[in-house]
Amino acid sequence: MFWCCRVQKYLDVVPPNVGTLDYAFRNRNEAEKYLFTCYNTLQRRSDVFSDPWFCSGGEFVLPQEYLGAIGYSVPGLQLIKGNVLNKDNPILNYWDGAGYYDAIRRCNTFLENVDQPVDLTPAEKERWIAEVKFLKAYYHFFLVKQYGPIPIVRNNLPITAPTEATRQKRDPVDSVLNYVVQLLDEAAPNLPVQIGNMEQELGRMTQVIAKSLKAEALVAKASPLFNGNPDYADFKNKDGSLLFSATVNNNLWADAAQACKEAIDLAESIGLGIYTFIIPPSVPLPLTDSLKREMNFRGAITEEWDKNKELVWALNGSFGYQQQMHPKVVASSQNPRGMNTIANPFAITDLFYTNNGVPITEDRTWDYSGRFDLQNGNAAHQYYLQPNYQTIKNNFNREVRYYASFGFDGSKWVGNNILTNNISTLLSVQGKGSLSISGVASRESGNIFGIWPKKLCNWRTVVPNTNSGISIVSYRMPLMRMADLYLLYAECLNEASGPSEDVFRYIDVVRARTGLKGVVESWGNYSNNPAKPLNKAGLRQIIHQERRIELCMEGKAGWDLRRWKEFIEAASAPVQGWSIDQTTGNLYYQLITYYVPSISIKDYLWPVSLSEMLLNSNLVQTPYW
Amino acid sequence: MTYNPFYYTVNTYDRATNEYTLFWLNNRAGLPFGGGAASGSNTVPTEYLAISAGDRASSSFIQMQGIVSYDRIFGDHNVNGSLVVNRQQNLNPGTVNNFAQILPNRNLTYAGSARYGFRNKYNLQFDFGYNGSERFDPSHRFGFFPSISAGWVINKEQFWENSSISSIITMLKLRGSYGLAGNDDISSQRFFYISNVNLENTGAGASFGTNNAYGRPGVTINNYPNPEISWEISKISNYAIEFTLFNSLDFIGEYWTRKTRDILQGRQIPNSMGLEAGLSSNLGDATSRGMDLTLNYRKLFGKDLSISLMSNGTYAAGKYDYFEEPDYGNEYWRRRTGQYIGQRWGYIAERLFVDDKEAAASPTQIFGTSGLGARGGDIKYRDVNSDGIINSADQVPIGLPSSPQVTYGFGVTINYKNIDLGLRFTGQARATLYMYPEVISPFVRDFAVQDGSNIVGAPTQILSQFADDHWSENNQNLYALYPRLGTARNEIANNLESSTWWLRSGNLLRLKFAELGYTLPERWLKKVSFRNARIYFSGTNLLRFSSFKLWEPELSLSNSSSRPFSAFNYPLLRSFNLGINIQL
Repeated sequence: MFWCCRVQKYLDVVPPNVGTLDYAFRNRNEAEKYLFTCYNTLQRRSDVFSDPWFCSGGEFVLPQEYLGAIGYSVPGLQLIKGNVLNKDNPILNYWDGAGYYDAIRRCNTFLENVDQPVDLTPAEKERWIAEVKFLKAYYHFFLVKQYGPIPIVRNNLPITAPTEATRQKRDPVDSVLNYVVQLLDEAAPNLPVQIGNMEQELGRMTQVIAKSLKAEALVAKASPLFNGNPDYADFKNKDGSLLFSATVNNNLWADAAQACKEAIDLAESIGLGIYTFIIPPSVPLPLTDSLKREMNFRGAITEEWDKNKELVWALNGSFGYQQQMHPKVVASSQNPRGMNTIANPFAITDLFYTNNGVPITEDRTWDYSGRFDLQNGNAAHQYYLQPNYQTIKNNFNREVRYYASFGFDGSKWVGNNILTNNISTLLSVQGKGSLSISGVASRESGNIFGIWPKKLCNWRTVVPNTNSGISIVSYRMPLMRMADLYLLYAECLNEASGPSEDVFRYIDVVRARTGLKGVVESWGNYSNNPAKPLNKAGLRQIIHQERRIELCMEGKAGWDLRRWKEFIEAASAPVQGWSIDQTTGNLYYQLITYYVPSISIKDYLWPVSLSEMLLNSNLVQTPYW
Repeated sequence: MTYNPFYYTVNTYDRATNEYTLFWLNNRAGLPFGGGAASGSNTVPTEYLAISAGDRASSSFIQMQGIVSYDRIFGDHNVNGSLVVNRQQNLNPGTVNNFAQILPNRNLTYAGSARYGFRNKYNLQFDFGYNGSERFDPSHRFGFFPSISAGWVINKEQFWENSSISSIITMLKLRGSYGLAGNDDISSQRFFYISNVNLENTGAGASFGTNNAYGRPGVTINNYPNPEISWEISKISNYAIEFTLFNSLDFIGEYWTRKTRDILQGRQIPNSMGLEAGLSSNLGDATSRGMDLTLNYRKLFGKDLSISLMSNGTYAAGKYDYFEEPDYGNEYWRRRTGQYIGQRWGYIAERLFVDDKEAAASPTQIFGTSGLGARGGDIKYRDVNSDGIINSADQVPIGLPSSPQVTYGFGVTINYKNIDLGLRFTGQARATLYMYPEVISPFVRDFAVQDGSNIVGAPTQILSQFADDHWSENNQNLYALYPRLGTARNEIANNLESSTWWLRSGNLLRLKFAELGYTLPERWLKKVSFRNARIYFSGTNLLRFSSFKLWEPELSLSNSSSRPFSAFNYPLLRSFNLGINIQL
C-alpha cells in the first residue's frame, strides 16, 4: 500500500501552485491583469494599418511596388486596389486566429470569474464588470461591421463541448446589434461619467464612451447597408432564416438620433465640445486668424487627450506613422528608407470645399474649369501658400480644412515645432523635382504622389535634416470626437424627419470652427444649387460630404461609405498623383494615374476564410464571395 | 521556481478578544515590499510560483532497477521468467523559460516475462509492461501492454527428420507474435492534463494614463487542460517463416502489421469558439504493414570456385485509417484519411503559361501578398474543383512520401583460385524527391541566409541546368525546367507553391562498393616469410542509376531555415583504393 502510494507520487512531478487559470482570479491584483487582458485587443487597434476601415477608405496610398526591396509591406493599405482580398487567406481577418472571438472569450471568462477575488470591493467590481461588458459589445460591433451577420457569443462554451455544438451559425445583423446595445445599456450605469485619476486611468471606459458607441451601433442598424438592404435579401442561414431585415425601417433613424442626443447631452454636461487651439506659451501672441483656424482643426486630432475637450475617446497607444507621412521641409534633409511614403490620392482633396463653404463643383465664384492653371502664391493666402511660389489655382480660395489636412507643392507647413506669424520663418512644402526641398530622391523614401497627410502630423513633430534628430510628438488617433457625434446626430435627424433648424445647428457648429458660414447661408449665397440644404436628399449629400471632409484620414470613411452604400462609387475613383519628377510647373501639374481600383459589391463585407467555412458546416459564406 | 511573498502588518488589535486583523502591504504594483527579481513585470506578490528564466545548464540521470528472475530446466522443459521494476529520472533543463523545462522526466515501469521451451522445438513467451508516464493525468497515467510470441522449429520434429524431405528442406521454422505497445512521447508538449497559462505576458496586457504610465501584463493560455489524453497504443503482429534448402539457400520472410490507435490529433474547432490554444485528443488511427525478405546463397564448386550471393529487401508503408479533419464534402481529394503517413499535398502543374494574356484568362491564381495574378512563364495549375479559383481546395495528394517505401540491396562475392571479386548494390524505390523551389530559386533576395535581420549569405546562385533551360520572353518553352525567373519572393510567389512541377522520382540504384583482389601464391611468400599477402583494388559509390540528374538525390533537400542548402552541400564521395595487405 505504502509502496503503491509512493509510486503514484513518483510520477507527480508537477508541483502544486504552478500558474493555472484559477490563479488569475485569486485576488484583485491578479484579476486586474485579466481586466487589462480584456482591453488588450482594443489597444492593439492603435496600429491603424491593421484597421480595416482606416485602410480601405481610399484616403491613403502606399506604393508597395517601390518598397518591396526594403521588405516594407502593409497588406491592409493594398486593399484599396480591389481584388486583393481573397477567401483563402483574407487580409485583416479578425474572425480567425488571434482575432476578436478570442477577445470575446476572454471577456466571458472574466465575467464568469470576477466574483472570486476576495479583496475586490463591490464598487470596483461593478465598474470592472461594466468595462468588460462594454468591451464585449465593442468586439461584437467590430465583427458585425466587418462580416455582417456573425455568431453571437453570449457565454463561453466549455472546452469539453462536443464539436457539433461549437459549430455556431450566424445570427441576424439586427440581433447582433441589439445585443451590442443591450450590453452597452447594462454597462453604462456602472461606468464613471469621466475618469477621475487621469494619471493612471485615462483610456479606461466611461459612460460617455458607452453612450457614443451605442449611438454608433444604432446608426449602423439604421443605415442602408444593414437596414433592409436588397443586395443581401438572399443572405440566409442554411435553415432559411433571414440574416438581413427584409424591409427598410426608417424609424430606426429616430432611435439612433435619440441615442446620439443622449451621448451629446452627457458629453456636454462634463464640458466636452468643439476644440479650439490652446496656444502654447512658446508661441508669440496674437496668432493671426488664418493660423488660429488651421490650428483649431489640426489640434482637434493631435492635441493631447487630457487637454482636448473634443475627444470622447481615442485609440490608446500612440499613432505610430507620423514619420511615414511627414514631408521633408528642411533643405537637404534625408529620409530613411521607407519613411515619407504614405500619400493621399488626389481625388480625396477634391472633396474639400471652397472658402465659401460649398463644394468646388458648385461654387459659382470659383473657377473650376481653370483650376489647373498656374498661379503664384499671393498675400491673401500667405499663411497657407508660399508667397510668390508657383502652384495652381486649385489651391486658392479653399476652405481652411483643405490647408490643414494636406501638404502639397507650394503649401505652407506649420510643423517642425515652428508656429509663428512670421511668414519667412514658417516652413513650406516645395516638391517640384527630386532636388527641391521636399522632392523625392528615391522611390523607397518619398511621397510619389506629391500630397502629404498633414492632418496626421503633429505640428510639434520635428523632422530635421539629419536622421538622428527626429523627434516624434505622439498623439492618439480619435475613435470618437464631438464633431463626429454632432454630424452623426445631424445625419440621423435629417434621415428621420428631414431638414430642420436642429440639423443645421449641429452641422454649422462643426463648420464654424474653421470660419465657415452655416449651410443654408453658404449654399444660398454661393452654390449653383442654392436650395440643396432644404430638401432631405440634398442635405444628406451635404452631411455626407461634411463628414468625409471633417473626419478625413481618421479611419471613418471606410465604414461610413459602406454603411451609406456609397463605397463602390467613391472607392473606384482613379488613384492619381502629381508628376513629381518634373521641375517646371507646366509639367509637374499633370496628374499621373497609378491605377484604377476595381471595387465591386463583394467588398462591402469581408468573406469568411475557407478554413473557417470548413471547420463550421453551419456557416454560410458572405454573398458574392 | 521562485515565489514572490505577501507582506502584512498588523492592522487592528482588539485586546479584549485578543483578535487582530492584518493589512496587506503590497497589494498594488509599485509599492514598497514589491516582488522579487524573479517576478518580471509583475512587481506584486503572487500565489503561484514564478520561474526566473535563464540558463540552468546541468544534467542528472538517476535509475533504480530491481529484477527477480527464475530459470530452470526440467528434463526437456525449459522454464524461465523475470519481473522487473524500473524507475528512472532524467533532468536536463538547459536554458529555461517555462516551468515544464525544469521538472524531471520520469518513467516507472513494471515488466515481466515468462518463457517456456521444449527441446528447443517449441518456444512460447509471454511479456508484459505496466508503464507509467508523468505526462498524463493520474487517472490515465498507466498503460498495460502485454505481448505473446511463439516459435516452432519443424525440422526438429521426429516426423520431419524421418522423412525424405529433410534432405531438401534442411531447416524450417515458423514464428509469430502478437502484442500491444504504448507510446507516451506523442507530442512536443510536456503536460496535457494541466493548463499552461502565462500569467505575466507583457505583450497581452494594456496600459492607461496620460502618458500610458500604468500598465499591467496580461494573461494568455498556452494549453487548456485535458485529463483524458493518454497513451498512443499500437497492436503489433508479426509472422515469419525461415527455411534452408540443400544447406545452401537461406530464406527468411517476415510480414508485420502495426495498427496504431489513439494518435494525438488536433480537434477541428471553429475559430468562433475563441480558443487561444488548440485542443487535442487521442483521435487518429493508422495502419502500417511491411515485409522483410532475405535470400542468401552460398556454394562451393570444386576447390577453386566459390560463389555467395546475398540479397534483402524491405517494404513498409503506413496509412491513416482515421484522421481528424473537416468534412470536405465532394472534395474527397483533400481527405487525409486513407492516405499515406507523410503524404505531400500540392497542385497539379499542367505546364507554364504562354503569356500574361493566357494567365489572365485562366482560373485565378493569386499567391503571395502582392495581389497580382500569375504571369506568362508561371506554372499553370489544374482547377481540380472547377470553381475558377486555384486555392487550397485544389491541392491533391502528390507523389509518394519522401522516405522510400522499398529499400533493397544485393551483392555477390566470387572467389576463383587467388582472385576474389565482391560487389554490393543498394537501392530504393517508391519514394519521391521534392525540389523545394524556395531553396533552389536563384537571385531571390528574400531567400538569402539571414541571421536575424542581417543578410549573411548571398542569394542562391543559379544551377547551370536552370540557366540553360528556363522560361523567358525569348524562350517561351512551356515545359522549361525552371519557370519565369524573379528576384523577390512576391514576384515568383506563384511558382513557390507546392506542386507536381517540383516532384521527381526518388528511385535509385547504386553500386555502393566493389573490390577486386589477388592473393599472392604461397610459394612466393615463403621467400620473404610473409604469412599472407593480398593486393586489392576497391571503390565506393562507383555507379548511380537514377532518373534525377540535377544533384545527388540522396542528399535530402530541406527547406529548414537553419540549413536551407543541404542539397548543395559537399556531395557523396566516390573513392578508389589500391592496397596491399600483408600479414607477417
